[in-house]
Amino acid sequence: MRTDPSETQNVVAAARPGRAVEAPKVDLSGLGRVAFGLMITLLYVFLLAPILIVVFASFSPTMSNTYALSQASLHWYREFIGNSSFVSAFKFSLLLALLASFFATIIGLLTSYAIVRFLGRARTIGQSIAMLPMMVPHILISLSLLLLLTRFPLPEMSVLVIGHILICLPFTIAGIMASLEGVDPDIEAAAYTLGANRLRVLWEVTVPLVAPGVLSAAIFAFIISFGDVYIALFISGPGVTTLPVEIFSYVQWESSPVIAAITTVQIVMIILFGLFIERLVGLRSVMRI
Amino acid sequence: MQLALTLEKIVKRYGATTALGPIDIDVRQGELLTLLGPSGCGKTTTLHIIAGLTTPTEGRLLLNGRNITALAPPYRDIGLVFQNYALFPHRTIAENVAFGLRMRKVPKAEITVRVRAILNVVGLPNVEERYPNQLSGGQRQRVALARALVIEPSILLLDEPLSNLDALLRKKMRLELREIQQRLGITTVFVTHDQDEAFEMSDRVILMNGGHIEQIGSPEALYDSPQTRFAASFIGEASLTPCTIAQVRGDDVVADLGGGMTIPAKAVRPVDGVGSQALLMARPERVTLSEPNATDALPMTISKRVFQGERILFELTAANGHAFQCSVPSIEKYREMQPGLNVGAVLHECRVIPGA
Ligand SMILES: Nc1ncnc2c1ncn2[C@@H]1O[C@H](COP(=O)(O)OP(=O)(O)O)[C@@H](O)[C@H]1O
Ligand SMILES: [Mg+2]
Repeated sequence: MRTDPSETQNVVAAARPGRAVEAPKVDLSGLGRVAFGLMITLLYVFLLAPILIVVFASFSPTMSNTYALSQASLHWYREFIGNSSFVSAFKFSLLLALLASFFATIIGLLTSYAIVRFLGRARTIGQSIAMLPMMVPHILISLSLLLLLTRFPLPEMSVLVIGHILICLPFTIAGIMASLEGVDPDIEAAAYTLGANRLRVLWEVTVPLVAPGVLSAAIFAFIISFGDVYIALFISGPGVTTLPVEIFSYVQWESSPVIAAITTVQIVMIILFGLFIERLVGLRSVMRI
Repeated sequence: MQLALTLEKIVKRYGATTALGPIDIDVRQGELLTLLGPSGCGKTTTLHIIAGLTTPTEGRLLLNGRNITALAPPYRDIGLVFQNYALFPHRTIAENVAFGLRMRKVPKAEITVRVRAILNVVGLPNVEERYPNQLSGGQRQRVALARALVIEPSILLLDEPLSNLDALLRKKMRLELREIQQRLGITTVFVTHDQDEAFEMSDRVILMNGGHIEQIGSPEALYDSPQTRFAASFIGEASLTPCTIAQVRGDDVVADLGGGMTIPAKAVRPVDGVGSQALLMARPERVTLSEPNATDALPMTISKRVFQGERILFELTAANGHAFQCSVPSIEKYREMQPGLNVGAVLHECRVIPGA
């Protein structure tokens, strides 16, 4: 089904009239307006320039980063696909991110449900504890996992997954908690009195209502896991490792636009996910959950 | 009289503060019993204890003679309608109503039939495929009612179900709700802070205040013989004046209001004897006005006049300073009376509340 994004926005605006009306109006005249526009432009250039340079470099026909646009080629993308260590690292990262995101989302859902519904006054404490892994530098988490690994020789993959779950959890918990706060406890209570036990209530009522939030938390976790360097660097031994680590070790020896090509693939992936999340959040306000 | 539900010495405490009780309530088979009281008096807490959503700190709960105090809500067989309806926003009306039946593993074909039937009972055919946000407030209310009724619960609980509707619809729904309740003969506990609602709909009313029960009785009994100062002031309009008992004959007494002003009244329960303190209650619509020097009339002065459309409300002040409300129909004879006018007032059917 084809939907015009502006149409969706209109529905949202209609459902929440307050939002559209209350947008603060900045009255800018002449020079101020130009200066303001310049600032915004500079800000975006500053944010986006590195990305654009990488994307540009990825289409280079040679080793050089500069070329005439008419000569743009997919040479380095072919190079990437043809390089077995990059491809297996990409697949490995994909698998790791899927596993980490799956478990971080399930654990995040149950944890945030417990925090929102059952903690009562202890809620802020519970929330702070759940957010702790975000405060600890990833290098410390990596180090402690490495110590764990030398003490208990667990399979490397499982330690990697555990480490990634750890760094994803604060984000999935925070995201799902925000969704859960929008669910009226009376709706759950209604299902409860109608004969659904607690697990059934969670499955039949709560999860469908927070599904958009859960899905965007899962995607967020996926992106975090996919981009991690520290944990993979510390934990993975010789053999297959994650894409960021593979890139990292590659650029230590040589520099070629193949890295730019790989990075561009990742950027596209993340932008697609971002758009998807945007749609979900948009949908949520339309559904007035 | 067969009892459907009994609350025995139920207490609910949050930490050191007692939110409710101890209270004892008997709900009779097939009746509509109303919990009436100001906001925060414990009505919702009581309802949630019956439904099992709140665990009482003390006391027992008997449903049809069976102790259900420790039973979880899904196994209680009680239908609860929430103040904000609490419909499932992600499910159609048919799915909303079918929910309880599905949890009870009723066969699909039977669910379809029963959902359609109950939607007809609440007067909402042809909305099965819609979503809750496509319905008006009144329609959602009916869906919430249908969803609770379709499981044929032993008891129906309604928590201020009409308070989110506009005034006109509220009045219409009162009668309709009562009609459905009587047609199905379902035992119902209804919660409201609106005394008109309580009076129009109930077989019996429980007046609550600050977590305890002030009075239980028929709407007439509550209006006519309030047992406490709170009951007298919360229900209907009343002029409450401290008095001393001057004469007693059975429940007929004479109240002395000081300054030589005595008024015959009925005691709502036995008084402590001549000379004891009490509260005199005069209802504004039971005060009649006549000439200042008419026999039996008390001389008073009109101190305030409020035109209410179909009625006029006067405030009368006696020589000893006591004020009384007087409500009269809006007819020519009264429309011309203005503050400052001396009148004779007869206070009919006054009540004396001993010790209050
Ligand atoms: N979870 C709770 N924690 C502490 N106090 C509560 C809680 N729930 C209700 N109360 C208190 O119990 C009293 C009764 O509340 P409630 O039953 O909701 O009143 P009503 O429905 O009559 O307005 C109130 O004083 C309220 O503050
Ligand atoms: Mg309440």
